[in-house]
Amino acid sequence: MSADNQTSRLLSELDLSEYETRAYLSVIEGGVMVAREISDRASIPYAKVYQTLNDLIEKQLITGDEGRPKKFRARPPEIAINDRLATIERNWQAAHAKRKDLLSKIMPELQDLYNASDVVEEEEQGVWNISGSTNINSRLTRLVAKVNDRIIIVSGNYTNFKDNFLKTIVENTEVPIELVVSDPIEESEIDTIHVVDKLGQATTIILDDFAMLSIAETQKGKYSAGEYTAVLTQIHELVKSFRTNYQRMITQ
Amino acid sequence: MTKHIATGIHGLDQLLEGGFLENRAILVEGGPGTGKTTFGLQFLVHGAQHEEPGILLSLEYEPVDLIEDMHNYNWNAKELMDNDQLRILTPPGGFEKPEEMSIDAVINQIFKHVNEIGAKRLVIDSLNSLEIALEQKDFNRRDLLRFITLLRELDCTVLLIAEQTSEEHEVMYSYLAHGVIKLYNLKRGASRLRGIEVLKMRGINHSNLTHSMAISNQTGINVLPHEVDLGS
Repeated sequence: MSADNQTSRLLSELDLSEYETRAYLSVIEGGVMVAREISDRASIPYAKVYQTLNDLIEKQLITGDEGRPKKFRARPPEIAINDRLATIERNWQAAHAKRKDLLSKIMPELQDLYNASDVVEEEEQGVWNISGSTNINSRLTRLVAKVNDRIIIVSGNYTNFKDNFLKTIVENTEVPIELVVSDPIEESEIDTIHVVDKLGQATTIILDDFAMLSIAETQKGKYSAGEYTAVLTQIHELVKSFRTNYQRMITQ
Repeated sequence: MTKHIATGIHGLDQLLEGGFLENRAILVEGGPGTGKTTFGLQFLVHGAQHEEPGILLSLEYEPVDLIEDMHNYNWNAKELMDNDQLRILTPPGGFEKPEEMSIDAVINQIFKHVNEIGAKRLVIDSLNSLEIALEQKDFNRRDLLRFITLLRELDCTVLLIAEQTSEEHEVMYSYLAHGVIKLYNLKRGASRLRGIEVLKMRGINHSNLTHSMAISNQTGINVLPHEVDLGS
């Protein structure tokens, strides 16, 4: 039985080069083999095959004896591939930890640069789109910290909002929080709750009268979990007009 | 247990407990005119006549000259070559205008011919010329070790012929080979004395003497059992 293209392709997931993949399949199929046989069978130039086989030993997929010529054989795939995956995972974790450590060292410097820039003021000029709950929470943290009067949350999908964003608001402000929902709920974190009909699926947060953030969940795809996207505006007139609308809705 | 293979050099096997150990790399070194190339040819011809085909990578002499030399020793080189018992490989581009070679290209070329005739013996004549022909100018100990290892992986016994050059080179070559044989041709008074010395041969309890050696037109190299005094 010869391995098909898909098998070769999938083996690249083990971080194998083209030569390594071909050599590995040859050894699996051929049993105990010497380098020259593998070179022939896998069409790998002889000058390259020895290094390739040594790399496969290093990657725990095959073993080689100490004889001359050296004989190579495959380790049982189930054991070998699991060992290889575990090594890849360990290597990745080590690399990631190192990356994280290195980046954490420059983080304060980056934050200082960011704070010193006029980025925030620039953003106040327009309507901004923010993707992903991490980014939305990060922006929310900074916005909420600037609120002096009150925060109004109008939510047609309160459960999702609560799970993903409420904590950020509650933990970063002392001001009263008002909630507008379409079904009656009990919520200890909220100061005032209003129930109105016909709210859409989005959640809108009005921060004093300087910013308004509308958060909606994007469609879940076949292969992707749903994510969040938000529209932020800090155009004063626009925010004020929305706030007046919601206040009218509450008082009706 | 590793098998001994007959060297084909008359009298030498007796000094080596029966011959070289199969699949080892042996360095044959000596100055000009000491018989290094003849040693290599004799080793190959003996194998070729006993179902151990061989390959010579000749970087110094044209095949036509080597065939003639072998003819002079009464070795049927032409017939052995026709029967694929012996092959002589030369540098790409020929001797007049040799092209620069990569070590990988040399290894791949040897591999191809070893596979084609099922060679068991290999002679590289010489390591010094190979280094000169290579495009990689800083050919170092690691490259040489890789070269030797890959040749041995071909299941061949390898003779590496080397001219005596710098001490540094000699040390590097001898360090990497399993065995070292030194050939001498020294002027003493009005005549010259030939000698052969097994300097190192791992795994073999070899003679430690420098033996007298002769090269005859009929039989090639003959190693004599007695010691030769080459003086200082």
